[in-house]
Amino acid sequence: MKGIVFTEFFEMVEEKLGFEVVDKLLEQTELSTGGAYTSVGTYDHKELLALVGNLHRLTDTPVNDLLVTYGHYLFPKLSTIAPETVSQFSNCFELLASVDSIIHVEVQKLYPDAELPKFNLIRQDEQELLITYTSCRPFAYLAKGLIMGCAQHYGEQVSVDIKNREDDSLISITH
Amino acid sequence: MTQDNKQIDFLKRKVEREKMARAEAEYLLELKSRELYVTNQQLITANQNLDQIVALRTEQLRQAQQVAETAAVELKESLNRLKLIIQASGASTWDWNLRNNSVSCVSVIEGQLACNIREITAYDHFINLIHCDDKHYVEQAFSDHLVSGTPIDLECRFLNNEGKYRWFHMVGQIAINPSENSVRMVGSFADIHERRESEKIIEKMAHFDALTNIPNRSFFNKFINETITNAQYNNTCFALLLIDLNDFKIINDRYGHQVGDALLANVASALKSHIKGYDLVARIGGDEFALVLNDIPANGQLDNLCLSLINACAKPIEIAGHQLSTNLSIGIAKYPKDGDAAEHLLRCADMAMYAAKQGKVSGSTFANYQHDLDAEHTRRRSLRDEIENGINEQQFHLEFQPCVEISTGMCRSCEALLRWPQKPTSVTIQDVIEVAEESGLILQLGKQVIDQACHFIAELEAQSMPQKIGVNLSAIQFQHQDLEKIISASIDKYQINPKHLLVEVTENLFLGNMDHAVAVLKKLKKLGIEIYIDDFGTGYSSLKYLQILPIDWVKIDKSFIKDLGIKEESLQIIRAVIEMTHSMGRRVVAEGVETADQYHLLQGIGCNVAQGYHMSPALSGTACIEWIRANQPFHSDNPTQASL
Repeated sequence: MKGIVFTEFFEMVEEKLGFEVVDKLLEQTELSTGGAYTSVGTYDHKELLALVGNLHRLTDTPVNDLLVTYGHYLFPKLSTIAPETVSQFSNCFELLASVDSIIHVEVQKLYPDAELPKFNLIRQDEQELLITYTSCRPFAYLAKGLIMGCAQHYGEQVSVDIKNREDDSLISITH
Repeated sequence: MTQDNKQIDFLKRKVEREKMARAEAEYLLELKSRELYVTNQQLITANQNLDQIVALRTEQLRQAQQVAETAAVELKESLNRLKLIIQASGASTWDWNLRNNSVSCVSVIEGQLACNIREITAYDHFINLIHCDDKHYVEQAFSDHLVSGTPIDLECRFLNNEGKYRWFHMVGQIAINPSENSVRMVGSFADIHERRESEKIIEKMAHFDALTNIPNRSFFNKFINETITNAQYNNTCFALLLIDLNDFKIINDRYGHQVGDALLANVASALKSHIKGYDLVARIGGDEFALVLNDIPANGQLDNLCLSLINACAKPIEIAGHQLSTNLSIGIAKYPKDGDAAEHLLRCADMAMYAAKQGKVSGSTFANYQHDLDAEHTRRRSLRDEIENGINEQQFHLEFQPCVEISTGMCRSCEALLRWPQKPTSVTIQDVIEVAEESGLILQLGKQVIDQACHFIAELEAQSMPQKIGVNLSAIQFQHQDLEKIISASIDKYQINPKHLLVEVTENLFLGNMDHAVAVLKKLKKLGIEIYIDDFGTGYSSLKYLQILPIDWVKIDKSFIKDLGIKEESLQIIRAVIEMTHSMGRRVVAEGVETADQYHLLQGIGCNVAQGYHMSPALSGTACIEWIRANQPFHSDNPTQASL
């Protein structure tokens, strides 16, 4: 998992919960880098899970909610990395339908070793976008947060429903 | 610790962490830079390799392009050449797509066939243009091609746009292109009608006689072999007739070749009218014809047919103002009775024809082959070979029989008679002369006789006993030798007086080219040589000959003298001959005088000269000289003298 996910996580925690929570998290979580993450580095996703798990204990907020919140927070940060990529889409559905074919392709150019989740478009119409989310990491709710962040970026109101299946998750985004 | 201090500590720790993160980022950056460098190097190398490969490929492409351009030029030239060749050959090419039945062809074909080529959309349309006799053959060729790949190469007749069938030469082959999923038949098509017609004419010319328009020898040879095969297979009989025109040479020589040709054509027509459709009449020689008559009964007789043929040819016809007819000699041989091979049957028919001629002096005749003819033929062949050998070895010599002038008893002349000590016992000199004449050996033999006679004359002259010596000349010698030249040469060789030579000819000489014979005799007479006509009364006796021919003496044949003194009529006949001959200014010799009675009777009726055993047999040269010495004059009543 790219370092930016960790660095922004700490930024979010610091921003929303204060530096003391960050400190506690760093103390309580066994991290290979001691918390020194560089955005261009690659780190074990289990460390993020550990961080989120400890944050859940510190805040009593369910893990999935934390992930959704973080995803929501993360989207605009990610979009500033390649604003021209995001600006080519005019709405949320358009972007989400092109995650695999356009966005992740650009990501792969910068970070050839990135293990990115797959978003597969099942159905798209004016009201609903149905996609599958496939990843070796259990971050479907992070994806949900990102989707909501995306909708907010385009000024849209969506509801996101995740149905976990054996090999993937079915995500339904509706206006 | 205050909140601010805590925050400061936090920020310090954050800064530390940021520093570490930055260090890591720098490290990663360095790594990436190195990776990038290596990648760049690899890229440069790859680019260089690529440049080399591109250069190589470009060069290969350029060369391939050159080759392709050259090939294209050559192909174009080839196609042009092919086009010219096709144009020159008069052939047309066609291309038939068997999947969609479309046909494309050079437009020349379109004008030739009895339909628009584009109307041929199915195999049946194509086949229906073909002559019914050729259809099966064409269909078989197509079938064989499809089964075994044998190329189609055939000649057949197609209906043309004038409603007539013409011969075409067609070649074709299936062409399958799996990549295009196409099955085509391609080929060429050439009008060979003129060539076929020419071939037919040539075939006819090769097998037909131009003059008579009946088959020639070449055709006959083929036909008879086929007839033998068929007869063998069907167990049937057929007859071969060889027909010779007896007097053709005389007519040809007398009236010219045009008349002769017209006569031959007439005879051919007459013969043709007597045969069935599946028989054959052919001209196999100058004046020789052959008939092959199929399906005759094994013991069937052909007498009526032969008589019918003879009568047909005996009817006079007018040719160039002349009334002409011809006599035939017919020899008949039958298959399988007389032979089972063509050559054998021809030989048998030939022998039969020859035997028929032998048996008749004149007129038409026919004979069936008999097995004893073979023996006779073999005997004559053998004799011929012995005669030739005898001539080469100078085995022949002359004996001389004195001829006495009855009124004076003086030896008037001696007849030179041929002798051959080595001759086979069963053979007479007459047989020898016959075979010599048949084979042409008489020419060499005759020359030897003339030479030996002149030599004897020279001997007599040297002994101051000049005598006339008579040599017999054959009609064959008149036909085929320059007798004046030969005789003159011998006269010159022995330096003799030509008046001491006389020649004897028979009446048959005048059956041939009489004008030529007369001319030769006149030349001989001019040399001083006397001319005797021998065996008078036995041949084609004609009083006209005595009038117009340059004859000095007539020799009455011994067959008349034989009955002298026995039959009164003989005396009368001989007297009449003598008187008639004398009235024409000629003189007479009686041959075969064997008794004193005959001698005296002849004396009584005015015969000039007598020859025969009563005076002397034929004697050797030496004995003859002795006889002459002892019997000048000859006394008929003195037997002692006579027997010397």
